[in-house]
Amino acid sequence: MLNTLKKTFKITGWEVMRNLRNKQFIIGIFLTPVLILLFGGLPNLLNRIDRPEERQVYYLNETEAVLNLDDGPLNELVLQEYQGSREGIQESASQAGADGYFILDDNFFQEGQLTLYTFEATTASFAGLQALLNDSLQQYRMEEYGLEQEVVAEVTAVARLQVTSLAEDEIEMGSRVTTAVIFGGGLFFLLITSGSMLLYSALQEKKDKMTEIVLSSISAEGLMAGKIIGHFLLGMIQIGVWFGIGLPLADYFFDFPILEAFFNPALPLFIVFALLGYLMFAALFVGIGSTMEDIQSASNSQSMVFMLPVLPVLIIGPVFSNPGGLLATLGSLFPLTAPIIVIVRTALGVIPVWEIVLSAGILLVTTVIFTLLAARIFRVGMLMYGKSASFSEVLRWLRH
Amino acid sequence: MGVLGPNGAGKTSLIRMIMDINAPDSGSINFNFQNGSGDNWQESIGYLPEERGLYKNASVKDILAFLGGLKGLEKKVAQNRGKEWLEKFGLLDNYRDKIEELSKGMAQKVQFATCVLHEPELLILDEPFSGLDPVSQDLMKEEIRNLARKGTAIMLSSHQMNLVEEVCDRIFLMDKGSKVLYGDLEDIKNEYGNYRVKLTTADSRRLETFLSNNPRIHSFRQNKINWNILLENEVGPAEFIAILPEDLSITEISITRISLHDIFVRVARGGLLDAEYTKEDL
Repeated sequence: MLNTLKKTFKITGWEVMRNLRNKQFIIGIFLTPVLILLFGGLPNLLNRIDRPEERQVYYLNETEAVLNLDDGPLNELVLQEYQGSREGIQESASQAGADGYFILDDNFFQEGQLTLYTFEATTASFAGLQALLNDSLQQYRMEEYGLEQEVVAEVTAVARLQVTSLAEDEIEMGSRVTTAVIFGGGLFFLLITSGSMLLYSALQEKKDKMTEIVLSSISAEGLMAGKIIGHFLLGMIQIGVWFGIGLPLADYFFDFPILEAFFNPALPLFIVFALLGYLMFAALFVGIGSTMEDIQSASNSQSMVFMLPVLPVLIIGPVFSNPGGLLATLGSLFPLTAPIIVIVRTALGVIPVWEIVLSAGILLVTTVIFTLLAARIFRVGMLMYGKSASFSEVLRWLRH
Repeated sequence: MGVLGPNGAGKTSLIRMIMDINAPDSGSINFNFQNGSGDNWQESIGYLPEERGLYKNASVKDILAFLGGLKGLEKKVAQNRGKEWLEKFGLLDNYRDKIEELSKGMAQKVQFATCVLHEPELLILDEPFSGLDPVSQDLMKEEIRNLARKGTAIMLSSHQMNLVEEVCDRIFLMDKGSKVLYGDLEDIKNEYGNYRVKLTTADSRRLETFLSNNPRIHSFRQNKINWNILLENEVGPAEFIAILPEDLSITEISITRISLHDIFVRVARGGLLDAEYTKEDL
């Protein structure tokens, strides 16, 4: 037993070292977070670098109304009051390098219509100015109806809604969502990347015709276990590097309380579900991988298997919207979606204990069954050269 | 010991069952190793499978350490012993090369080295000569003989029976998954290996008269002045020469035992023992 374990870890070590020396793997490790950050954080970064320039607009106020420039969200828009005549405003604004001008006259308060002239065609938003003029117009009209200044202020005061949870909860929802995204997303990436690496590893072993040599020193189960553990470690290394690089950058770009997520009291539970989920999918991938000659020869049914880790993504939207709903419960009990859905719901704090226990039980049983079946398929499939196994052949292997 | 049989006889299946890679439908396989039992029994066996291959993007050095490690060797020991074998095969300069940089024959020699690194008690070689050029075949035969001399039990499977005859002293002949013959090569040849005489003479009429109805002659065939004569089982070369007519004019004569291939055809396939010309004769 000890000897078998020793050899299993030798396989693990070999898989890890081979990949760590592989340029593609190394490039992939560093490139993936860069790509994610590039696509996720680039708009934010560009926004910071390329802030909209300050725009200046001249205006001539021919009315008694006072524009409350301190109150409105004018953003980058600067309003410059012009003290001259209606005829001179265009030239003065142009000479001053302003972007445009408008004239506030009684006509505006009668018809609610105002024209802003710009010197160049523009796609810039003038929503702030629009809101400011809107306020002035409302103010003017209410005063026209004889309402006192105080009454107007009271009537136009906005409602404020504050949501306070009655549940005794020290963790804020924002932090919970971050935790759910980090651990649920992390496991998803682990399944996708390590799963495909495992598949390629099994295919490569067949392509290199190494299976028989290795199986003359270790059992098929030992080889399979070594590969699964090896690629789990590789996945963890990958995720570790991603977090190492990604956390400080994400903190800078997205301003999320990411580190807090790791101090979640449910962390051990996340680890259990992540481990079981990884083992279940790893067994599935390595088993199916051993039945294939190469990736091109994968049949439709074999290809479908590699889409299975994506299942939770299909229901993650509804689960986030209604984490206590029927779909969330079903997703937590169905073993192929359970690891990610349970982690997300636990992080969000909306999953009953009985569901966690039942889900863990179903997942454990499924993982054990998948591993035993995969070992049977792996033993025969890895020695099959020249063609991919048909579904009926795989069934026959399972029966024997 | 040579395991012989035509393609599809079950040689590789038998070996895979011995290696516990495939399970037998019935029966069991037991070893009697001096060292190694329990779950490290595989460390007493070296195995060169028929399907040749090594990790193409790994270096020879790493492969030696990895496969040696799986057989229970320390990394340094595996690499040092590997170097010794590479030196024997003239591949020491390729120690740090990747497998994909080696020729097929070179990679095959490296693979042979990996299965003898741990000095196994039993060495199983499945079609060890296939894919090798004649010079490399001779080198491989010599190393197999050397290992046997040092006490390694060697089980060698091949369908190239002439090569097996050169290195094996026991054979296990099989066909369609069953044993056909098993025993010492010489004993089998004595039992089944009649002598074949190839004789060239201009005096064909005289020879035909001598051969016809001769109880020591099993059968004979003529092709112009060339004769192929199969002696009866108990008749040896000396006896045949002694009974030849004294004044028969002979240009050439050779007497050899029939090959393992002929024995196989005779025993396994129910082929008639015949003096018919084989490809080699013509």
